[in-house]
Amino acid sequence: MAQLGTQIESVAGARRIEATQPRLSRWRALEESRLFPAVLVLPILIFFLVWNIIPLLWLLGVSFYRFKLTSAQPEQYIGFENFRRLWESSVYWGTLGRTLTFMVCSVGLATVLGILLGLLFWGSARMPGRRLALTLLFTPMILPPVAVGTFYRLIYDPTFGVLNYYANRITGKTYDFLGDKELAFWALVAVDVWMWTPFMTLMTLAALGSVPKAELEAAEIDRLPWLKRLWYVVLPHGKFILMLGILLRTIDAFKTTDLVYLMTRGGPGNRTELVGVTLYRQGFEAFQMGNASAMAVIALLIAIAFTSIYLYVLNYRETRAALR
Amino acid sequence: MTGTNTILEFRGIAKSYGATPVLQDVNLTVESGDFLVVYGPPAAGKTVLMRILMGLETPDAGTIHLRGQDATRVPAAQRNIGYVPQSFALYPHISVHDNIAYPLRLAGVSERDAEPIVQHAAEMLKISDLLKKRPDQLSGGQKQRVAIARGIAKQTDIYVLDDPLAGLDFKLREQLVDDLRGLQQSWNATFLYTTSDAIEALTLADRVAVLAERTIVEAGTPEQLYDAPERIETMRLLGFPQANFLPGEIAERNGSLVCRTPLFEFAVRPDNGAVSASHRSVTVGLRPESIAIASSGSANGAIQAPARVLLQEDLGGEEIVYLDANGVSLMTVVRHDTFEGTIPDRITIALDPTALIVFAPDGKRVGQGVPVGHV
Repeated sequence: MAQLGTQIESVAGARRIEATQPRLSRWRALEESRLFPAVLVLPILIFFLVWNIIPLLWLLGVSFYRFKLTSAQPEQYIGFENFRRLWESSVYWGTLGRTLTFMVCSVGLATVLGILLGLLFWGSARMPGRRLALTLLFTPMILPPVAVGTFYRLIYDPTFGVLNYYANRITGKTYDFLGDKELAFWALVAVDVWMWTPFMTLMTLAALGSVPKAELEAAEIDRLPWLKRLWYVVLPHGKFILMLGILLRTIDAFKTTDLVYLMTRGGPGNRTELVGVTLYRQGFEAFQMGNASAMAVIALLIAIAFTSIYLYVLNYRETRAALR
Repeated sequence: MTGTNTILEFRGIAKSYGATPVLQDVNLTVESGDFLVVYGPPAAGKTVLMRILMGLETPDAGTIHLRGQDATRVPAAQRNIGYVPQSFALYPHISVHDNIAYPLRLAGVSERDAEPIVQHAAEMLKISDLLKKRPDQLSGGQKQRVAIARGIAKQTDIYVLDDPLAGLDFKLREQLVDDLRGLQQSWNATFLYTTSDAIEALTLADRVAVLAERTIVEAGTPEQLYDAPERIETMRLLGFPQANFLPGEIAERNGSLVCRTPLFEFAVRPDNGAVSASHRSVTVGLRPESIAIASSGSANGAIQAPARVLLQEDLGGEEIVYLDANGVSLMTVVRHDTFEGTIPDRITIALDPTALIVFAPDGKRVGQGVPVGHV
């Protein structure tokens, strides 16, 4: 009986909606016209074309030329010569490998630490001063890399750096963190992790926030152990946001330039030279625009590859879930 | 107040969110083996009350006594209550089968013992063919059934079902109502069940508790509450179509009490002398099915009044008829098997005065109509 009553109500409701339709008809005609979607998309398309597509094509074009800004000679088309030279350069391969190591170490550590901190903050929702602690935690992320690079150079300084002060007290030795060929790379990884762990904490908190409260409550009533709670309840919901965070960080870490340039300029030797640094030096110190463009194209392709892998992994899991 | 078989008791529970009070002074006792339905309009606070019972919310005031002990501060994990939450809350990562079986395994049931329980629950809820699927592959109704199966699969003595049939298809609802009832009786477990559907409440319950205006206004068997409500809210909320209410005035005539309404007068038998001159203006409640359309001959002892038919709503087997009687809106139900032919525009209604219940302005029942000359 109750169902029938509501049915009658809903029929009455539908009639009311019909009655208001004529007023909307002009808008509807616009909405239904085929041009309407195009009109909506046009501004962003223009923006995209002017700021993304054209520079990219330009970059691609330049990479096929011998083009030196300091040379009086006109630029010369050389086909894949720039790419061939990079392919054969053991130095460039070394830089690529180093960049990948940097990326994996930096993103990996920042992710693990970020998740741990995120869980800590999540679990301490009622801790006094939590908000202040969170704000303080996020400061490294807000600082410009220039500032971070500068003050870490001071912290790492072998003669008056604060880190050496303590290292000296404990071990009795002095370390040139940025000048030592074994230490410099890891000193940079440490700074990058310090800078970006808060970002992963933020992503973790967002991921945790996307978990439905009711499911966590069900887990509590069912007495799920905390690790299973994470695995069965939190991860299935939170993995997308977390993966997105890792993806963004991976691409970003691959491009790391400013921090390294400021702290070591790629040295000692080329121990800390990452692809971004090489590219910058080729382009703006040696003014080899053709060569630098070729490097940029390769970097772009690698970034696209990473993105595709992540998207594929995410999609694959979903498809498999749907098929099961 | 506490009986020997009391398994669960709310004492003076209050809860507010910010400045908005949701529950105030809720008192309710549940006997072991009862099927208790907490019935109330949507957003009355039923879910909050269930969440307080589950330990998912802490009451601002009052205590909960569970199996004879104060459980107000006992964490949710230790209350050992089967729970079907209003939102399905299934584990998205694992199959339907594991969703039902996993809580059992965690509670220490061996795999061999758990399997028949899972199969039985799945069979009852007609989800046996879904056991291998994952929650994200199910429709809303299917998820709901899995949630019910998971809740009742728990091996315990108290089950809380928070509006579990809301939104399910009509046929399935009816069948599940029967199944849940049968299940509860065969287990002799205590069921707490919330709903905002009056028919569901009346069909399922051993006892109904009416939650309105932030508190339990009345609790009793469905018959008690339907036929002889003690509170005006109970009569207003419980039943479909809704009860009719008329303004009335109590007066004394020839040493007995009469109640005068815009339509008719009737003699009142006060409850325990509760009615006096202090209850001059009252509200008279009347169930729609107590109003009959009078045939030409007048029935003995019945009150009659002229009325005009405003609207008829055909529900198939019966019809809801909206009437205007001397400016008072009334609703009646006419069953097609008892009334033949079409209903004319102007009719005479007839009603048995014992069906009239008199409520004081504070909402408490103070008396009942009696046939003339029977005071």
